[in-house]
Amino acid sequence: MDLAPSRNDTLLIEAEGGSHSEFHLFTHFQPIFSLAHRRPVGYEGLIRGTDSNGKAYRATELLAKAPAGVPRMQLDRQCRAVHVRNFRRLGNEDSWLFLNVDPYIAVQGLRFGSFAQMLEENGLPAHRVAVELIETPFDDEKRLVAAVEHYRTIGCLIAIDDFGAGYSNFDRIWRLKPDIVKIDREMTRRVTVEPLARRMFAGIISVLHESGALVCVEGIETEAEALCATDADADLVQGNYFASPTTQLQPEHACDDLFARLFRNFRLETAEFYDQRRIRLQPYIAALADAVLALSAGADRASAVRALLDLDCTERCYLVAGDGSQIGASVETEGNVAARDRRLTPIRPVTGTNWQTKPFFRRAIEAPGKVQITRPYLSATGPKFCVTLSYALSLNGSYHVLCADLDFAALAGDDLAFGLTKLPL
Amino acid sequence: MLANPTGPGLHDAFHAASLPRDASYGILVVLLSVTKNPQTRWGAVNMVDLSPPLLLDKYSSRGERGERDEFSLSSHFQPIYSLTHRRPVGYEGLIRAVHSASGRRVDPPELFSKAPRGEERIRLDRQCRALHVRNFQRLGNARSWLFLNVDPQVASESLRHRPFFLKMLQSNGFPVHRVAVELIETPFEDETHLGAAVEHYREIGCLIVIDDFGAGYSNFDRIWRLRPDIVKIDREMTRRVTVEPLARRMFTGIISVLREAGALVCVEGIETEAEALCAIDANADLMQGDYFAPASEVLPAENARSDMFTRLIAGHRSDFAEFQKRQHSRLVPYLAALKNAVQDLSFGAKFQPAVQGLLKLPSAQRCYLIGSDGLQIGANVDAERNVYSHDPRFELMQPTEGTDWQTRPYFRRAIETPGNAQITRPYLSVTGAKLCVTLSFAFEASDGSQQVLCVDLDFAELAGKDVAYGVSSLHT
Repeated sequence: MDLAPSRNDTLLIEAEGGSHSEFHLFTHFQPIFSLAHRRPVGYEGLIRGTDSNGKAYRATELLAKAPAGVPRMQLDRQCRAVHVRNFRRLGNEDSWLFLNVDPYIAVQGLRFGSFAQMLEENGLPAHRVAVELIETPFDDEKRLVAAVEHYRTIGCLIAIDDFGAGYSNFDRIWRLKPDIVKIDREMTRRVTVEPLARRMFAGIISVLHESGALVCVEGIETEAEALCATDADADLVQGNYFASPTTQLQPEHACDDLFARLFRNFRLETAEFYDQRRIRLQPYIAALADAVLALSAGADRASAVRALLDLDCTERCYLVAGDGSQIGASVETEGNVAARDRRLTPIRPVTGTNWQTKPFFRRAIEAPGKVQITRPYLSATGPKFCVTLSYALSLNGSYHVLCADLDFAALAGDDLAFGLTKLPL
Repeated sequence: MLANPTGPGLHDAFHAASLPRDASYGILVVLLSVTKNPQTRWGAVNMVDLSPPLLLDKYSSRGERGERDEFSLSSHFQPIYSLTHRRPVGYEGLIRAVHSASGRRVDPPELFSKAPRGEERIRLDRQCRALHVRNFQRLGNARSWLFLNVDPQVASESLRHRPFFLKMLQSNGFPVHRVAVELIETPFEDETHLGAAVEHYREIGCLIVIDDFGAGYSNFDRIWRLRPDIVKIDREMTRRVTVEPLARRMFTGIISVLREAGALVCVEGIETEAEALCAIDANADLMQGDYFAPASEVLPAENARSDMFTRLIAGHRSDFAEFQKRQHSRLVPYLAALKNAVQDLSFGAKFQPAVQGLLKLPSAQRCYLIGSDGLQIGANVDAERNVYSHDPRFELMQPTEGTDWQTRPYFRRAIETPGNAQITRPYLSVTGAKLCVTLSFAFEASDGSQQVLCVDLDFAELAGKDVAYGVSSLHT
């Protein structure tokens, strides 16, 4: 295949003294895979260059050579045209081409020649182009919206890059209503090394799904990162673990073995995780059931929950009436009293504290006789992450909910705390 | 007056001066000078005592040509309510400034623009915080949090200057563990430096609060770096949730993900009952806004809003029940048709005729069958009306035989609880174009293998305006 840069793919930079330096521009394509389809559905075009001595330059180094303003804009447009031409030459007839656009240039570019025309001249249908807005601060968000609407009108997909970092935030999602959201690669890195990021990852992706976008996890370099993306229900994945950027496109089935292995490990880990969690929670669920029986038989609260409180990870028990208001104070374990954080004094629960908006209360009341288990969260009553077990029972003819907060870190240990993929800490 | 001086440092320094009558407060004003006190580093300050309850302070700015402008500063406090406790658990200190010469009220951004950076900015920022602490102390609240705004720039630069904050709190007798340091959303290049500044506040015992989450630079990367105890949601988001379907739908998820970060979540800028209901529905921990109580120089009675909360929560409960009933009634025909299809399939019927009835229902878009290994069996069967509505941009995502659904929650949940219908939240299906809701159901096929039948429903068509946005209907 002929990839020799044509005359148009030469970048001329004029130095201050009037001398010129010349760069040859070419494209590296990195495949973007759909997890459900196990094949590339798109390619991101990345610019590379060499100078007359054959020295290689990366995108940032090249862009740094063009000063802000018109030269920068021309270079940006030139890069996109190079990608489109090279992509066409490689003969792919169905995948998306992802093109990076700086928000500033997206706005300014509206005044210059037409992007649609360039696509048409090169025979690439606009509906196969995903315009990717990189994360940079941009003051005039109204004009950015107009620029994005322009790309949408000509038929392109809109992608937001680097979500979760800097200015790539929810306000931009609401303004631009992207079709695809790419997660910041720094987040991808964090999820395997930081418990906090790991815990939130699935939630972040699920919220982005509700925005009506497909979610792409990029910068995947290890199997652990790939498993996290799989577990969090990403739609698209990209990164050197799957395929590095090259001048060629990926054969469609090149990663079949890799995906087969990935999904096999995913299934094994899922099964083991649920097994372990069930084993670990079993004694607490049994003790909760005993406490419920004792309460129904008329035992007083403190003695009914004693065995439950004696278990290692139980922090406190409390009884909530059908209207959501707490009955009496919480019964706390001795170990927990010492662990109290003075900073959280203003929000200690007391009689009458109302739990009716909490999902663990609502779910219990909706399904009496069934144990409900929350995801780990910071309880409004203490400084630690907890998991709440809740159970609706009938006392004196009305529903009550018995709740037990468990210390999540102690319960889960290192192997369960972070979800399916153990942290390589 | 001044029977209750604000701290040992001030006590020595104060000398009474003239007693002008301040019309706006209707009480006597005592001028108090602390300029001779070497302990005091927050500038040339003239404290004005409005005791009880308020202290005034003066800030004098220097213009470019050396001209001076004087502003009189006072504190306002806005209560922050806990939803479960139905009372204020904290108060945010807000600065009010009046241009001394003209008597014109000056907004905080304008005031702070007089001291845009450097030591001048740090001095003004510190002066405001000290004023809030003193005023809050004088109001006699002995258990709530005091929220104090700090510019990230100032927080970070302050580290290089003399330790001010802890000393100021101690000299005012205010316990550090009742202070919540609130970092406002501004771009800040040196985020490692900011991390160090926040660690300083945490070490001395304060709560850490991130302000304006979801807008500009207040993003997840900051949450991971700073590990806040409380996250305040951007007030622009609060406004959007009652007028924009997209924001409304995501609100609950955003709050729940922040709670998983180990933070309490505060929804601020609540001005209407609809916004309050959205915050309640989304399970916010803390709420703040003019709807509950505007910022004022005095604290409202703790139980002043009990009735309002009782009414709101009862209202939410009936809204929620009504919503569930409506949502359920709309799904009933689909669930019934899904069960019929499953029955036919388990008796060995062919796929296309088995799902015919299901696909005739108005919101059904497509049906597909998944094996227990997560791989799709055969092609989709599309509803007739759906065949013509393909989005060309998503053509390549069309699922086929062998497409792998094993990571999807609707597949995983169905396989875990065979015989129960599972319903997703609305999401963009990989086939594009429309938000959909997927119903899934695991059953035993005629050959003894386990299979999952899925049907995608057009969410907008199914939900209509009244159900689409959750419990509180939109204003539009």
